[in-house]
Amino acid sequence: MIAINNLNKRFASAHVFENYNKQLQGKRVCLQAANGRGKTTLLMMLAGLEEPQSGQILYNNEALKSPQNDASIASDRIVLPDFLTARQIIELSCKALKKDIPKQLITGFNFTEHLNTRFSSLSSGNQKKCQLITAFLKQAPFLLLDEPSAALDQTSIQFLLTLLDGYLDDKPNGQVIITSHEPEVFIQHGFECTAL
Amino acid sequence: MIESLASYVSFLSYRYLAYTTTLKSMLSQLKSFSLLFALVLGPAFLGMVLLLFLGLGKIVDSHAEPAYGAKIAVVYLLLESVMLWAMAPAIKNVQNRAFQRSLYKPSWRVCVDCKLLFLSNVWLIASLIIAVDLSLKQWLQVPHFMIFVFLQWLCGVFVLYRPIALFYSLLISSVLILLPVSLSSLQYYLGFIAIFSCSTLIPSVRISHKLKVHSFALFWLSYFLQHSWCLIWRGSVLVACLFSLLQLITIRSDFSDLIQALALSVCVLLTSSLQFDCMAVFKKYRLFFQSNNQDKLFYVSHFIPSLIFFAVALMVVISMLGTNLLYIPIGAGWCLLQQYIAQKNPAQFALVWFFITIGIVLLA
Repeated sequence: MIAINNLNKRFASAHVFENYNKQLQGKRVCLQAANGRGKTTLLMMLAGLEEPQSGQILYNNEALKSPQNDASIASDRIVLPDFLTARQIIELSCKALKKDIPKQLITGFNFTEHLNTRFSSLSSGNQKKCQLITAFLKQAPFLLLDEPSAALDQTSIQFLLTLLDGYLDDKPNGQVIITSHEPEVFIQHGFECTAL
Repeated sequence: MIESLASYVSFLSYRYLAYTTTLKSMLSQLKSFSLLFALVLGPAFLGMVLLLFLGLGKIVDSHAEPAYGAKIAVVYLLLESVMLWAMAPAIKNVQNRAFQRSLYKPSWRVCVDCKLLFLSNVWLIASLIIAVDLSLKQWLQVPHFMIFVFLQWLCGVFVLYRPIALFYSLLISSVLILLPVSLSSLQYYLGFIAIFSCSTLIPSVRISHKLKVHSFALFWLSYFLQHSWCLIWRGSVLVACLFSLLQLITIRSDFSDLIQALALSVCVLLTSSLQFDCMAVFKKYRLFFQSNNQDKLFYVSHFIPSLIFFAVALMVVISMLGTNLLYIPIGAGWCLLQQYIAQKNPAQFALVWFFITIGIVLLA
């Protein structure tokens, strides 16, 4: 469970979160809010990649010193090295995380033929697949996906749902948190929708 | 006919507006260097213009030393290419190329490209000023200069449409001028024309996508293979400066200590300023590496390219000019200091370099 207490986050003079409190209790949660309300920012803070001005985030009642060790995220906010090919990005992530090349993920997303394409030349759907592959690769207890189905084709969405169905099987204390403007398909797979 | 002309004029004014807007935006990105330009290039501007014409004079009058004239010509073509390369996105209006294609004839596009290319090519304009000043009799005495002017134009065209061919052309031309052969000026320049023509036939080689990127060293190598521009322009300016300083040393060997100090200073400036590029890469991809728990290693790694570039550049300086061995540790420390300032206080980068240069020149 993730608990957010008295969170404050602002960009310049714009307050995105002001004394924000929230408990994300479900195993699979879909955050919903209008554009620009801070969904991505919240996911980035949960992943430890952005610092709030003040406040506390508890992961299973524990404040983590380095949340990025226990959370994995796929978001457009994280710029992947766009001068590398998709294969090189995946290899770089595998080396950093000491994992083998995720052949199953690559085949499942029908991504094999795009591996040698430079990231900047990939279509938005394939860029999303590359983000998802690197996020799933980590197998962290907390999986955070920002608009995971955006730009994906139907086959890939089905594969993503299969992955999400089994993701927490070996992570009893884990949680999957996503944001989506089209949550119906995720609700059918056990996601609870909650307003930001 | 009138409608067509009006349409062409509107296209021309659109492209000119796009050209000036892109140039303004490019200049605004050079804020970190504004103090440097004010301090160094400002007072030296007139001298640089005179140097430009002096070099052209040497190219025109190179009958006595054709190899020397050819070397100056290649350095000129290299510097011209570097400048035009920087301006190419503005000249072509690269961002809206598809928009142009959807509305206007291809011939109009090429025509306006050429007009803006000519407007941007101060090196070619300087040569044409000299060319206009020559009489017909003088023209017949220096046919190689006509070829040089044509090469200057060709360089611009290659920058816009065949950048890889230009890279090969300049590389092979550099080899030609370093060969210990005795050629006349005309033979050298006809050789350059042959090299430029043949270079268009050489296929481009792309190796960066074949690299297995599983370390930071390979990450940076891959980056610089695809963004070689930031190394090429620095390398070209360094070689041009060293070439000029080498000529100075041959004329005034009693000033060699001072010239070596200046060479070290230029070397530090050009190599340590690479930190600005590395810092931009670090900021852009930091979150990706942080999400893979590698942010600290990535931070350390982004200082390494400048240091390696400094080491290579210093070796070039030593091999061309020779140097006091004391300059090696001084240069390394100075380069590190400049990198630190580029990171922490970019606005002071030029000022610190300027005052240390003054100090070293006074000591020399």
